[in-house]
Amino acid sequence: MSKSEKKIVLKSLDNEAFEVEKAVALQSQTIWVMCEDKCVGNEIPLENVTGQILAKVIDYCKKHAVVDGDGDESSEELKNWDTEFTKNMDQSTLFNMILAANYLNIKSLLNLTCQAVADKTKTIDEFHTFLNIENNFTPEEEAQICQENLWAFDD
Amino acid sequence: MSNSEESPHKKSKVEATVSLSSLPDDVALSCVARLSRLDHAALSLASKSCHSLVDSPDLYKTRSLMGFSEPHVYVCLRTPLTDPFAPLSASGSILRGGLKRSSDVWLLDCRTHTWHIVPSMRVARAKAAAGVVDGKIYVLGGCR
Repeated sequence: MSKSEKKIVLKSLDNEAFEVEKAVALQSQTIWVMCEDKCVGNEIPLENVTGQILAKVIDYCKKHAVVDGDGDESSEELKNWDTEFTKNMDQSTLFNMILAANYLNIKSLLNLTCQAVADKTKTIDEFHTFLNIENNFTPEEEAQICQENLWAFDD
Repeated sequence: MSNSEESPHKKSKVEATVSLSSLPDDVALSCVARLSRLDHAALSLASKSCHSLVDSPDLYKTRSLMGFSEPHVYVCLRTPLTDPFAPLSASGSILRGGLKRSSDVWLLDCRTHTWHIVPSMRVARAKAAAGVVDGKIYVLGGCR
């Protein structure tokens, strides 16, 4: 890879362009494969990701990129950064981040965001509201399952 | 005042309401697999499909593959089972019991939902107490 090719432009579905270091973009296996196959120029259109989400994905990749082999971030610091990164994400952003991480094939970001979903959902109400799971039990069925799992609910 | 949900036509798919079911199956399963075993009771009450997922071996398989399986010890000191029993934590899953004094110990494998007889206690007990320390189950009292 010559030095002139160090930057790459990522274009979101709503036509927002982001110029980033190649090392940042290549954390996405999807982009890596595109570049390897030389099937794209210096501008990569990402049809499934909005600019708002892509900006966040790039933030993550920048933080996690080891540019010029200088990984000066301690893993503890990085972990805290990750926690902060997903902490205040609303439901829609978080799910769209998961979809983006999955599409772009960024394993660590996918793990982080899936874990964040699990961490944010603990109660039946949260499963219904946060995960948008529809309660399709009849009251009788619900009562029976509640009975089976009594130990979990009697605090 | 109502929430501002006034986008009459959704501009793009990505902006539409997202839910667990809008994720690819393997990704959704990966989210659910990260829930602790203790959250499964609540999950099983969320919907019918969640209930069957909690019951299915798929969830446990995924949890094991991802390294999220949590071994638990369940101790039940009374049979027939009148009360549901709560996890005590540690390794394996075990149940022993008897209103009638007995030294039998049964092991319940929660993944396969099967019972196995394991070596019995040295004395027969009824209405004993139990606790787990360092991964070992201690049963106290209840003997003559």
